[in-house]
Amino acid sequence: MTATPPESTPPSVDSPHYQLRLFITGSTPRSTRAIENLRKICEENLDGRYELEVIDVYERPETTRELQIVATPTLVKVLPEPLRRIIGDLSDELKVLAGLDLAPRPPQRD
Amino acid sequence: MRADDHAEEDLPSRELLERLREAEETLDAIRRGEVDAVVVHHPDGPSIYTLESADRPYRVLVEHMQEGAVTLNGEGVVLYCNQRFAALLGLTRESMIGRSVVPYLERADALVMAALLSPGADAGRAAEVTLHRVDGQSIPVTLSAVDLPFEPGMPRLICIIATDLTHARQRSHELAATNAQLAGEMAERRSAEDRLAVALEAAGMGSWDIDLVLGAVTISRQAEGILGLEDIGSTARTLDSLALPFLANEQPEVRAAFEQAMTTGLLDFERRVRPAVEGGAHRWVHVIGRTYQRDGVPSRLVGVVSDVTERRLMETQLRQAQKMEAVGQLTGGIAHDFNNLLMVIGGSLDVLESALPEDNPKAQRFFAAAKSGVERGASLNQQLLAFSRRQDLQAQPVCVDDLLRGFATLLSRALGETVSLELPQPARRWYCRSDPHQLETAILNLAINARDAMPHGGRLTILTSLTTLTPREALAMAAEPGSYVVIRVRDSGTGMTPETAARIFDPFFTTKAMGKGTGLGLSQVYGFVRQSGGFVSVTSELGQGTTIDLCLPHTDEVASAAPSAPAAPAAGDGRVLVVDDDINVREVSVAMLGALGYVTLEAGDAAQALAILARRNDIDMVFSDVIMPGEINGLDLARQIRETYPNVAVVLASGYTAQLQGDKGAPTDVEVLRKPYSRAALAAALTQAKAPKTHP
Repeated sequence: MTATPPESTPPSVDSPHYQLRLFITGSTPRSTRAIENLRKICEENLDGRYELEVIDVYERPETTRELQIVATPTLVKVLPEPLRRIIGDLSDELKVLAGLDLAPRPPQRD
Repeated sequence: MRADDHAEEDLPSRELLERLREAEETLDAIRRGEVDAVVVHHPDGPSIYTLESADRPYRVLVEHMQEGAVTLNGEGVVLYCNQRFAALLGLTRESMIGRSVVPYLERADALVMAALLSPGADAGRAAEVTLHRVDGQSIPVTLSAVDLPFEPGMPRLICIIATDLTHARQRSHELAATNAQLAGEMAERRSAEDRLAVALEAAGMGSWDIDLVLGAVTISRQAEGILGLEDIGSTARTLDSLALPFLANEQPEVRAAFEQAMTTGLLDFERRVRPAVEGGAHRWVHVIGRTYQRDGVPSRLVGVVSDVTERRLMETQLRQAQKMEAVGQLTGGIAHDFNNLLMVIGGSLDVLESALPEDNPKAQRFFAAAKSGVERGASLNQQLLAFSRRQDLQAQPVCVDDLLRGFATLLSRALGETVSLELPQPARRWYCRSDPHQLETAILNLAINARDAMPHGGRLTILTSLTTLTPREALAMAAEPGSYVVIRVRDSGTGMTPETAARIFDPFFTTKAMGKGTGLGLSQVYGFVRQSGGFVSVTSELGQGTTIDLCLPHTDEVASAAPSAPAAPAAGDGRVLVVDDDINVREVSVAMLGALGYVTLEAGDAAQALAILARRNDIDMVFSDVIMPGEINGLDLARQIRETYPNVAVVLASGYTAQLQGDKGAPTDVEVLRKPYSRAALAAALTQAKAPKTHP
């Protein structure tokens, strides 16, 4: 599943192009939530600057090996480097933004 | 320690920290149950382990679906089943798990189930089986089986979906029943249509159907043939063009008839259609139809069409035959009375002849003129009788060819020098039953008419052939079916219009100038042939000559010897009783007999005559008219005399002796004299009657 923004603006130094992959398992409530949360975050923060691929691990289990996925849902930021994994239903927006290098890392929970 | 505190100076350690944080988060998420599945990477590929709560939507789906779902191991033991599957069998889920599914199947379906469970079969396989509910009811189901992929070493799991076919079966049964009913109705309708088509064909009819709303015209093949529509093709399929096959001048009337049928509801007309081939004869077509209405508006015009040319032809022929019959009756009646008049005049003249002063030439001349007039009158009357088929026919087997060659010289003379006579040799010497003298007269009459139709010369051909009349043809000609000798008289003359051809046999119909013809020549031909049991047909076209066929009944008999010559007249001697209701005729007869030397007595009718015979025994002969009023006619009188007084000779006088050939006929030894008769003929008849009979 690939979502391409309506107009693809060329990547610039100030605003790098994001390549994201979201691994889910079928149509479970958590997977559905994860997709909805990510779309919202991307639209608000990466308008026109991202490619998102949603992968159902049931359908394509082999795709989990390359990016060393251990559980779903997992969001992987492939580009820009460094590669980052964010696990869960992505409901913690600050944590997601931090993982995407779009915001400072929030204080760690105990 | 904060991860970004020393980011600038220590990048690898920052990356390590990130990795560590990521690992901790992952573990944390798994521990808190924030993930759906865990991916385990085996050497031979990844496996996905779903956490129990994660597949809840599928569980709900499976539990609530209308299909039965069951998970079996390789031996058919139920590991799991949904509510619906248990309900199909009328059991609870708890009672099913752990037990084999096979006992719930029909015995024959055990093999089917074995095939579904067998390893290595196709991924998606299905079969129809029958389940047995605990209450004994049978339920048809479709089973779709699929192997659940599992790790090696684990027991096989087969997932089966069972779909209840009861309603589908019922619906398909209903559908089949409906189909069967429809097929039956269609077959019945088709057979009804077949029957109708056969009936129409047998009746020589074609059918047509006009949809007045759409303007579409449907015409059966036979109707196309009758109307001659084949050549016109599909462009002819409009209401208006249905009139096209008819003669141009009749088309407006045909269209009007169709138009009128919309309001009257009925269509019925006979009109002529154009000949199928150029120059062919017009054919008559009878169209019958009916208008059907829908919501008060004419919607369909349906009917049949038939070729009635033959019927009309037969009707025309029959009408002609009936007309000739009627005219014949009338003519015969007139001829009878006319004969009696001629008898009185001629007989009186005969009696007066002896009293005529020999020294008065003027009186002699007038007397001769009067006698000649009587003779001409008698000859004319003879032709009238011939036409009315009441002449005296001496029917015998006649070889037409011999007869023709016998008087060919006479024929040639009658035809004159400009007309040549041709008598082709026929295939055989056929005999017909006829009166040879009358046949000669008939042929002569035809020859004279043909000559008059060829004022500038030409050719007359007379040829004979044999034809056979079928019962149907015979009906049209008002004749008996059987074989006929055809004498075809063909001229190369001016020919006739159909109107003239239709009337040529009518008495006194003539196309010749006033005084040139009697108008009785062809009437004689017609009457003679009809009386002989034959018929006449005429083919003629203006400018193409005329062909007249005389058809006389064929016979296998061969001509007998010519009749012996009559005995010479002798002087009268004896007592004759004269019986006639007409006093004038009786007086003339008495006078003639007296002049011949006979003694006469008179009687006004048969009863009176019998009374006289009973009273006296000196009577040698009875001379009686055939037709008389009263209960006893001349024939009956003759028979009674034959029985009671065998020694008394009988002579009958008749206007036409054909009437003696009735059902009983005249006694064989009774002489018959044709009226009007001369004194000589009377003397000969009486002499003959008195002579001893050679035959019994």
